Amino acid sequence: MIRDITLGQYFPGNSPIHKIDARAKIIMTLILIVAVFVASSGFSFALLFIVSATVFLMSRISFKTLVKGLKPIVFVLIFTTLFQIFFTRTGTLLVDWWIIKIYSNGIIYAIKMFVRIIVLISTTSVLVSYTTSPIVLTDGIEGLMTPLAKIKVPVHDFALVMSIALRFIPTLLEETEKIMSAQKARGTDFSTGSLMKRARALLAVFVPLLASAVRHAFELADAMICRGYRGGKGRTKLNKMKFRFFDFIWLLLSAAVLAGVILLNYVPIDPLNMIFGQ
Amino acid sequence: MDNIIEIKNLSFSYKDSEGNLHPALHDINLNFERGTYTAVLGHNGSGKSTLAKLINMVLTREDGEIDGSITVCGKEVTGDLTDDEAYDIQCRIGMVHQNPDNQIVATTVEEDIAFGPENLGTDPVEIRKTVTEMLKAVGMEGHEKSAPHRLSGGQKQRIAVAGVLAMHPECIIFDESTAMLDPQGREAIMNTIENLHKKGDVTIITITHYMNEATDADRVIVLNHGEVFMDGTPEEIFTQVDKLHSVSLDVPQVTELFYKLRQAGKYDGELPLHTEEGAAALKELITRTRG
Repeated sequence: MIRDITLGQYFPGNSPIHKIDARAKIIMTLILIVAVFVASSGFSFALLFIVSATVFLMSRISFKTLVKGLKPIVFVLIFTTLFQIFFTRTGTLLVDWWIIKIYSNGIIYAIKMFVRIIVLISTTSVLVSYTTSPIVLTDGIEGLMTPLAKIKVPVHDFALVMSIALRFIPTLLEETEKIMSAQKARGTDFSTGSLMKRARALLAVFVPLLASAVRHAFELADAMICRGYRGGKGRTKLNKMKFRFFDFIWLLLSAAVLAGVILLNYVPIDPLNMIFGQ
Repeated sequence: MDNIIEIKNLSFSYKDSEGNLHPALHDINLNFERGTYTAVLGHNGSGKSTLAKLINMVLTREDGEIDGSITVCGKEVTGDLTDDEAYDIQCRIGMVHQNPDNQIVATTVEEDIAFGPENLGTDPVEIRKTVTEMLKAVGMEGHEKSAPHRLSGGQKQRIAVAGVLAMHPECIIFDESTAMLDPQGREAIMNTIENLHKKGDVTIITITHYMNEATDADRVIVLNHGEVFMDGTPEEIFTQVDKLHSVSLDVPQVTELFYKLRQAGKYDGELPLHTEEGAAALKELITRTRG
């Protein structure tokens, strides 16, 4: 049933990761992304891998979910990995067969690229999409952007637009379903015919849907005015976000990971080089 | 007598994009006394929603031509008001619209009810108290964290009522608030209105075309083609069955039944408005016929 759709990919839960303040999570994600791109030695990649695995285990998200989340990038992952293996021409020659030449650096780069992508996708999805509800995330983004309001960026308006969009997704989906049934009853065929024909059939859904969305917007605006809305100025909030000591520790930890990655880059021996004999 | 709304010689015409005028209200004179419950009846296009929108300043001089005046809480809303004055009036007159979906702003029930008080800059602790109180007032306790799209139409509409109540308005206008609901939802809203009226501190105006919903009001106003056609207590209005029929409006079913009985010469008492009265009268009638 359309009523039961979940917004985004949020999995409600009570894990320590779920409890981190949304603003802290966004900053943590940014720090970890920087760390992923800064990392260059085998040790730093090992650290990142351990960190992201720990975060994943603490979130109590199932492994299946994580794999599902990685599915869309499988092609990119395989392509970049193979690209590194076959087209790197530095280091010692390991395999030389027919036209295929594989060098040691190719394998090292491929491993690094693979870990980089996996860590990037898994930490961002575990930290942000899977454990933060879209509503809280909107609040978090608003919270982080609040300083921008000083330079006249309409932060409150953006946040309101986003939360109203979230609020109306199920309503509009329900309406799409109704319009589609109504058009089917009038003989519109959505499932057969050429692509052109099907696209034209969908037009019969989009036009009424758009009209109804506009009508929703006008009525909602009236209702909001009737309830005393006049912009973000002087508004209070029922649920204020609380930045606790605990969130601060999480931020320090991710900063420590970044520092660790940078330090490990300077360690003169690289385990990957040693394994592939350089 | 303390009138919360005073309407004098009011006429209104909508202006379309080409500047043509479409008359909607003609020479309306009405007063609404504080704390009363009034039902406004009429067909589609009789001007009843237009009247509500004018009172609440959703329609202004930009939307059409206004003649005469409306005074709300002592301020003439059809005249020149500063933004703050207009805002103040709008906060004092709450309005519940027809489509529950288009009134719910937030993604959870509690945040939606909090929307009004948040706009007023109320202290969060106070808002929390208001939310709990209003959910109780509409019989929706325990739904604080629910997502609006998972509720039924009647439940959504009750949340909308709670959201309006949370602003502590002096008057609430229900603009066909039951039109999109199923019978259970309609009954829940009618009970909520009834309870509000019993407490007696808000003025209630319901706009409807369901006759049954008007029988509990203190006063019924019938609009026809933008004019006040009838104005009186429900008993005065609904017993004039012929007059209502002449503008093709119905009377409550039970009244209709006894009207027909009277026409057939089987009944000569007062026309009942409520089902319970009707049942009692019917019982008496049957015993009398048998005996």
